[in-house]
Amino acid sequence: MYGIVNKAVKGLVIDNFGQEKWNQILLKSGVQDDMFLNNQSYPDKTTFDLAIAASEVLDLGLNEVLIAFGEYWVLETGQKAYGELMKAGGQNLKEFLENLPSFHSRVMLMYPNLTPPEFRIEKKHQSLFHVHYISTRDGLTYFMYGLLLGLSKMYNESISIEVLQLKSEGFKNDIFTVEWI
Amino acid sequence: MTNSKNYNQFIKDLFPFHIYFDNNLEIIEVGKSLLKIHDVEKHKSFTEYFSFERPFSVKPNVKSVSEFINQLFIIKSKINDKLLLRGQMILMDQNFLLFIGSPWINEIETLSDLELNLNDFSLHDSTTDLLHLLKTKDIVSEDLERVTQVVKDQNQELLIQKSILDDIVDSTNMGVWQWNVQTGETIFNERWAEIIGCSLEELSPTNIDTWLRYAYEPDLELSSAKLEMYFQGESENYDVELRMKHKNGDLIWVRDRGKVYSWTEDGKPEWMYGTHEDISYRKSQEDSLLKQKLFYEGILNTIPSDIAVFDENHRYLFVNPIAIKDEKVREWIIGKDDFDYCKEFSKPVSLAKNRREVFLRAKKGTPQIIEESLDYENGKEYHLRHLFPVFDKNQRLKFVIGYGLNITSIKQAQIEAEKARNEAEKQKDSKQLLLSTLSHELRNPINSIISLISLYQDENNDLDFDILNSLKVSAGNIDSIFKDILISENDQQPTDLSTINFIHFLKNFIDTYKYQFNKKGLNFDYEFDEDADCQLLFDSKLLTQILSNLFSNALKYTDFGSILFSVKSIEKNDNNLKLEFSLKDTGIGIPKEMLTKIFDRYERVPNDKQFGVGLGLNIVKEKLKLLGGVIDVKSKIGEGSAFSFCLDFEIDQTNLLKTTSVFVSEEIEQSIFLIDDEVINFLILEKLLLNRNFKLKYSDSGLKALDILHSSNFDYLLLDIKMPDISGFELLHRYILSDSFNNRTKLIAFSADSTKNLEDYRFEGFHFFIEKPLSIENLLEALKVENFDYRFFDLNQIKKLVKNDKDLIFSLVEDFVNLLNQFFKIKIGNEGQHQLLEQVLHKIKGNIGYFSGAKMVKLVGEQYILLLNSENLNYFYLASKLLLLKTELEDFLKHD
Repeated sequence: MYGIVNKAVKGLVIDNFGQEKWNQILLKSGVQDDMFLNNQSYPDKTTFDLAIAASEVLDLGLNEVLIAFGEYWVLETGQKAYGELMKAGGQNLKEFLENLPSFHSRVMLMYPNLTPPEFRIEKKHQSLFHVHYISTRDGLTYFMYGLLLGLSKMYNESISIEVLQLKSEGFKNDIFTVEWI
Repeated sequence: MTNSKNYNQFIKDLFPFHIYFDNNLEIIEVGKSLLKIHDVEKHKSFTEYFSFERPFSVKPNVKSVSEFINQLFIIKSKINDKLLLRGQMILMDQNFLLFIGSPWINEIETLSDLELNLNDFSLHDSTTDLLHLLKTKDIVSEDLERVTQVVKDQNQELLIQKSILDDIVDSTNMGVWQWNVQTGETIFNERWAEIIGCSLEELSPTNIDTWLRYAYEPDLELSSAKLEMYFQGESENYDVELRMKHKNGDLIWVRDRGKVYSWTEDGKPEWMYGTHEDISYRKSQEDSLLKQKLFYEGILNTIPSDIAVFDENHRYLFVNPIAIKDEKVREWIIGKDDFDYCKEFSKPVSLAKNRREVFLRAKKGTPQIIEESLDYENGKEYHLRHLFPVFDKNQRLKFVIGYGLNITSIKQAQIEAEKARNEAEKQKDSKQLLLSTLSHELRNPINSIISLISLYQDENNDLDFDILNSLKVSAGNIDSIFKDILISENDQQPTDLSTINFIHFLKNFIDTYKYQFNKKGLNFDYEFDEDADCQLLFDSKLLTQILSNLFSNALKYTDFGSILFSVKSIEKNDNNLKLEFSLKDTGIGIPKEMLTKIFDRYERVPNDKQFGVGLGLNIVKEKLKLLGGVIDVKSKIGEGSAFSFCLDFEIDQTNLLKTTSVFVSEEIEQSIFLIDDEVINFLILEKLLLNRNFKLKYSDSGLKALDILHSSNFDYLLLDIKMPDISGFELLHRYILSDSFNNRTKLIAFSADSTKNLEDYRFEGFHFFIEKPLSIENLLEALKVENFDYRFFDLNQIKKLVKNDKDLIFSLVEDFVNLLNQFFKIKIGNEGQHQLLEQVLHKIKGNIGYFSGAKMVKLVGEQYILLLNSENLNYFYLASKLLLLKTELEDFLKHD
């Protein structure tokens, strides 16, 4: 996982709960070094350990924490680092989602050591997309959910997101429904 | 691909930024994405909208372009100067040209400036990848910049910290060292060298041997041990105080501390860093402080008083061994307070609370004094405690000094004094009572006497027997009051031991009372254990006093019924006999509430009929105490009383002490010679002995009596002590030393002087004494045979010396009699006799202690000194006593 994700976790906690809570989360997670480089690859375990520790220290559900991370990533960390690039993803959420599959494919080309997820956008009709999230990792479903939520806020569009199917429940991959309202 | 329409579409899809123009550079077709961002009209000249940026030398014609066909073309928009297209030219049929490329974008922001999206590019176009990479490069650069900043900041921080540390090290004046434990490489700073009086340059090159060279060898063992402890994880760091050799030859003290900051891969200590602190001054101060502390503690520990010093929170800073004897407790209590003490040693918490209250008052500035009582297993202890606060010059409390004195003995004395005062008050009350009792009790008999005398004078009668008898009773009552008072006041009366057959003693004693009990109509009975029929060594006078008081009470308080006196043997062995005495009466009894009081002075059972001042039973109690006995009483009102006590007696196994038994027998006429200037006493004597088998002779002058004695012998000589012409004592001495002296004559002093006791009279040569006034009881008492015991000869003395060796005793007595005979052969006044007298008296002085008591030893000693000093010795006084001693010794030899 990119360091930028872990940075988001750290930023979210410090911005909303303070340095002290972050120190507690670090201590609990066993992660010793918190100076994450954006484009450095870190073990997935680090991200999961931080999320689990944050859930315990902040007394929140793990899914809640992951959604908050995703949202925060888009609105704070991602925009700061890739703001223009993200804007180039599309003039609105629909365009962005339509470009998402090729965008991630290109990332894979640039960083052959990374295994970014793949997306497939299924346009059910003009205001209902099915977003297929296909990942070799488990447990990041609600992080993705948070990312979608963050994107809707970034484009200032009103949508409802629902989890249509879950890989953890035996399906091939996770599917979210994104409906413009 | 053969279909031109398809082909055109193919070009459009693949190259959304393409431009297709003919050999005149007229635009035929333009890609959709280019059209999105740039106005281009078909059939207009290429050069109207664009110019060639690269290659520099290309001209805007087909021919020139064809020459550069293998090069990269950069086309610049003439409408939007930000738009640059980069790509390649392809020469098509008919010299038509096709430009295939896309916008040359160097930064992502240009995308938004050109309002382009990622999907405006064809998928094969790597522009977006380039943009991504460029962005990534930026991000990485930012990260690097951030990390570099962090590193720079941290470096800056490290430099500051180092500077601070250097300042600290400098200000603490510490030496610093680094040591590679594995290689021995060692680095010191300048101060390290300076501490031992060197410069770093002098010590260079440095390694661990530098340290070993300057460390004081005897302390190296401790240093190694401490280091090992640290390496083994038994201590937080290496910390030791040791001595080092200064360059000038002195030993200095350093505190050497260190820590490992790197370890080898296999876990061994590698680099250590540490400090050297010169603590020589502190050590010398400590040494001096320790000496001072020991000095003051020595003082405080030897002050015979509890001493403690408290801090401002009432915690113990110091306690001396008087305050807390147990050394462990003394060490334990330092830093603790009295609440801790009470909890630890289960003392009442009130003790700590009280002390805290007093401490808080002292802390405010007022010295406190309190008295404290503490309960211990051995009893109560009282301490007087002083608390003094000590303030510094800023009036801040430094400490509080407490010192205390154990005032238990004083306090007990106070309590005793208080008791004594109460007792004195009580006695004062008792004496008031005595006075009122005396005034009441004495008025009756005195009034009786006055009345009787008046009656006698008025009627001018002869001395009527009844009147005399009444007078005698009244006077006797007064006499018994004074006797009781005198006896009771004489608490320290010494015991006067003599050997007497106990049954004889008892029988003689009860004779006096038998008569009186019978006269009152009481049935008197007695039981004596046959064990008592032996020779006992005891103070007959004391026992007589005890029994007399008990018998008198029985007589007083019993109007009907009987009196039973018993003496039982409780325990007997060869040397000792324990007897229980019991006297039961059927008298009025003693109220329960009085049973504990009747033995106190001036306490008596209320009885208007009976005479007394309440001293009798107190005398019994006190005299019994002298003999080691305790009186017990049981009584019931209306039924009677029973007094009992037990006494231990020593049995005299030898017959040596058995006295000559010559009982007063009225079968043989006895002669009594009374010498007294008051004729009334002779008249009374006559009356008393009327109808008894005594022959009386009387003289009212001492000197005349000497003449009579010259020619006549008497069984008894009754000598008044105070006579006008000659004192009874002098008369006796003259008689003893006269030729007419008969050593069988019983010599009895007759005196009203109550201050002298039997011992006094015996030392003067009398066998016994009768106190005036004369009564039949004390006369018969005086005539008893046991009274005529030895006066000067004390067999106990010689017995102790030779342990009952009868033959040896006889031999020694004979020798001493011979010595005394030598004394009496010396003619006093003759010249040359003085030296002989001195020699003989010297021998007597040396031996008399074996045969007589302390008084005689003293007398002989005094007289010998007078003789040595050529002063006149009281020869007659001495001789009369030695003569009596000689006669007694001769009597002993004769009879035993």
